[in-house]
Amino acid sequence: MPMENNIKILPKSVVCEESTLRGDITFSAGCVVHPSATIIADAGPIIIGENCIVEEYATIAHRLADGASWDASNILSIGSHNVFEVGCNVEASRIGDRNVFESKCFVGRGVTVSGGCVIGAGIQMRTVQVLPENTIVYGQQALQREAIEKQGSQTLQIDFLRKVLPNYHHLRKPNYDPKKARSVV
Amino acid sequence: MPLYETVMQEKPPIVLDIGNAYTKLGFAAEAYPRKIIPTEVVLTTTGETKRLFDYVATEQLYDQIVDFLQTIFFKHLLVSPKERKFVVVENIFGQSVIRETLARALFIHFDVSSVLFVPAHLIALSTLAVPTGLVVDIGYSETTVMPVFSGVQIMSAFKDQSYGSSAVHDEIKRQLLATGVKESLLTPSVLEDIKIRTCFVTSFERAQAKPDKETTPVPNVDYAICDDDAVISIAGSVRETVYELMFEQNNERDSLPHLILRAILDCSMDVRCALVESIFVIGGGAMVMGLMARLKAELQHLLANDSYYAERFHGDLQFKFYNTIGKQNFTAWLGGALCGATDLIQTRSLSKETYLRNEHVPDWSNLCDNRHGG
Amino acid sequence: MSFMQPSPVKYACSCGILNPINKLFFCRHCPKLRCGFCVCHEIESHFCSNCLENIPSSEARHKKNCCANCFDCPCCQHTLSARATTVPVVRKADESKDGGESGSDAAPSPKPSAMPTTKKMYYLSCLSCRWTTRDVGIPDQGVATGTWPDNECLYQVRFNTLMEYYQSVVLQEKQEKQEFMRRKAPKQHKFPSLTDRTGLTVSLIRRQIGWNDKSIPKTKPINITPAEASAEVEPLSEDIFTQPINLRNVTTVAQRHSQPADQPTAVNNLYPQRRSLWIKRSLRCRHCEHNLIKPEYHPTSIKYRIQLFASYHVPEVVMVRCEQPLQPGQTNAIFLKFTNPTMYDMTISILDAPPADAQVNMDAFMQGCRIKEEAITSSPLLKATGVTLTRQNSTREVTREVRDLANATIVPLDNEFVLSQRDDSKEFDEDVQAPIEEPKFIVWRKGNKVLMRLQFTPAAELQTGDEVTLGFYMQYTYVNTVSNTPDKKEPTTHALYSRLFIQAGEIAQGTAN
Repeated sequence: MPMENNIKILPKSVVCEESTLRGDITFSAGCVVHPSATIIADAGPIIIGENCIVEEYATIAHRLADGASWDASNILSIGSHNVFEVGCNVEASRIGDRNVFESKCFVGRGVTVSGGCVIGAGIQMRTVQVLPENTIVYGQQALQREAIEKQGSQTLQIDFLRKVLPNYHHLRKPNYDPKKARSVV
Repeated sequence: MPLYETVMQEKPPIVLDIGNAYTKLGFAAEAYPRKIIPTEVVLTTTGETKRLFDYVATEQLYDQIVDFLQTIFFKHLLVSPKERKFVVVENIFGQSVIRETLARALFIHFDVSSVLFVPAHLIALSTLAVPTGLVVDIGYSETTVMPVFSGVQIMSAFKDQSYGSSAVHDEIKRQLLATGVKESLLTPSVLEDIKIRTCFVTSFERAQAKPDKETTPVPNVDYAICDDDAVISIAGSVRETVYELMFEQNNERDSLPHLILRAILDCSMDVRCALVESIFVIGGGAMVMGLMARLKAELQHLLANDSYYAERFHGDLQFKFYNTIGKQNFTAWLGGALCGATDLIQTRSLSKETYLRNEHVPDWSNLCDNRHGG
Repeated sequence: MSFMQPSPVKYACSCGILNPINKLFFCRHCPKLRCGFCVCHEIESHFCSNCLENIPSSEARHKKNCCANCFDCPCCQHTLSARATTVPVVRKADESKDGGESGSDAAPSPKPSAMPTTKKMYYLSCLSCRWTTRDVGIPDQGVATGTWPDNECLYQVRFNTLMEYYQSVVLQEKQEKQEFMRRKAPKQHKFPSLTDRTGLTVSLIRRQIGWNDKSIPKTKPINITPAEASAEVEPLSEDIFTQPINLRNVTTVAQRHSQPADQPTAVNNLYPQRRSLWIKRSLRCRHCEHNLIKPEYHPTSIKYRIQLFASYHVPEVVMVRCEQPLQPGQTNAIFLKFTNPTMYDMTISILDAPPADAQVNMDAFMQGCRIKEEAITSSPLLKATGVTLTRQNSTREVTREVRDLANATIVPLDNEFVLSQRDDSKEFDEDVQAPIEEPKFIVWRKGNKVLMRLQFTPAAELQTGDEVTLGFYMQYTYVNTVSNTPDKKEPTTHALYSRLFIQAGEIAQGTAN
């Protein structure tokens, strides 16, 4: 495990200061992280794609397996346009694009979430499995169905949050600009 | 038609078909039931769900039936049962304690005006407008065969066996346990879901094939059980073979094809040919894929190759099947709905006054009720 | 204390079933306890639980008890909500290539020069499982309460033919029977009528004066084509042996049964289901046919017009605690809190057997009237009320014996005590009541509440872990403000009793002797 946190925030991201971030985390452009969201990168770096929303009390964790240690090549990559709703707890091994993790759901380490999936509110998924594209898990019995199209992206919501959040919260400054970084090198 | 217009103008009769697993409920003169609900009651004291016909004492059954009917009237049908007419589709060989208790709940607790009990097999046939048929009812707890000729049930040829949907559930459970699935995962609802979504009746040729001969196996299915969040693999062989218990070849000769053939043989010689050409399979268990094809192949095979039947059936017989209108699982209900739309509801019902006179439902098997020369 | 938990104190209803007080009703006219089992349920009004619209019962029957506007998700049975999207309207002349664009993320057509006119289109979407009407290819509708496809029954025509056929068959049978009965029955007239003697029959006369024949023409059963049996049966598709099945495309039992007419097996045949209505119930005493509960008519109101809950009329007993751990055969004491919910003082006594005067009246006792009523003022009044109370009605009252669960003996109180009336203003009174001479079993008293101590002994043969249940009779005076007789206007006082069972707890671990 790295000794200190290494948080890279690309421009146009809104990351509140009250969020708990640990380890090597990269936020791509346009991400919104609410206060008291938690992102933990114990086992390896987490790279979060563009325009993701991480709401309050959501937890995204890249936890260490038993006996393993920090491995910089063990990257948890999270695609773009994902929404992590209030109180969800996601430890999935891979997350594609345009997924929605509804409130209070739990997605365990063995789960691979492809794209366009919706994990319904309160659903617990622990078993090792791969959710194919556009899977929707819903209801008390955690039934699965296939949506006809991917969930629409929440552009309006992101724009709104980007406007509102800075008015009421301290933000972490974007500290990494790919263009500048390239010009420096 | 002024006579039956009056019937229709008043409140339509309620038609109930209380099965062992599911209850079909609705109104007369409607083409399909309003609801199909599990035959279960939620106990008010503990909040747990319980099957309606699980009971220790008759009084407990009475309470459960009252609770169940209460749910039907006020949650599903949304009509007051008071002064209503009822059609109840019943199993003709059903327990009389259930029938009596049901009548008591309806007449005494709910104050209904009349109840018309109709036998399931006969009334199911009425949906076809034919007078003759061999009615095979594949239900939850049992499979019954009742030949009907010219609108008369041939009671002496009635056959039943205990393989229905619940036997299939047990078989799925047995086979899955053998593959190492945890028993706690296999709740009745999971078993039912596995049955209905993955299983089917295999073809006659595949069933006859010797086990040692290689057949292309049926694809396996990964089935996610959500209560304990587990994924089990259902082998193709399980999907294919669980229904074999209806067609099992053994010395008892009591598989479904045998049952049908024996029922036909128990009828008098003149009606056999008509019955062979008018087999009518109803009941929720009949909705599985491939059942009819398999049944027909088995019957033809037995007729040609089994010496016992070859001796007794003559001529070039071809089994013929009726298709139900609507789905098989509510065919008997549909018959009741037809019956309730006619004037029979006025003339043949057991009225409240008659019932209250001696608190007894007339029964065909009860000698007291058959004494008079009517 | 025991909110949302089964209460340890159970009252025996007049029908013999044990219930906690919050599930009981009190018929002021009888006056007896009633429970949900022994009252008559009636439908007060139909309403939709989603849009809270009141639907008259005739309309509800016509609509098959379904709401006209609200739909349920066929996939998860949740309510569907209408979502709006803006769709650019195709201008015939200039813009035709943009016409295909639609969808939830449809941004308005970006060409400002063409002045795109947009219109709102609606589709139904489930917020729980995200099913939409687009999943099954139902086109979007121009109005929110659009013409969504209704369940159509494929065999409706055949069913109607069958129904007409059977109706005519039965009718013909009936006419034949009537004809037969008429011919069989001889004329009952004592004197031959004029027409009989002259041979002039009614029908002859009618024909002579040019009227139609009165007799209804004989109905012939209409023709129906009977179903044909066929030797062809639906074969099992060969795909099933080779193709893997996708469980997401196969419906579950609940989904099939929510569409009883067609019971689709494939998810692409699921259609939005009209939402079932709900009802408001009113409850009626079976004995005197007075309403016990009558809700307000409007669906949005949760108030009642008539509410005779037992907790407004019968002293509430709450178990506080036992003095010592429960041991078999050892004297113990239980603290009970009594609350008087009425506006009149109550005199309460605790007995271990039904009150003596109740036992004398065996007739009432046998009827299962577990509550003895007696008019204190005059005994003829009792007779008068008794007569009015025994008015017979169609529904029979079924009673059963109270199951005696008690396995402990109580020491009945040697004298009665008074429970003061409820006075909401007194709750906030600062001044302490002047201490009065109290019987020694009363621990504490405030306003309309009394905490008392009741001695009891669990049965000696109980084992560790067994539930100890006390049973006793509580006699209380009840002032009835409704009068059963028209001449008498002042409230009457009844001495009523209820049988109570209290689950005191389990026999504690430990050495008893």
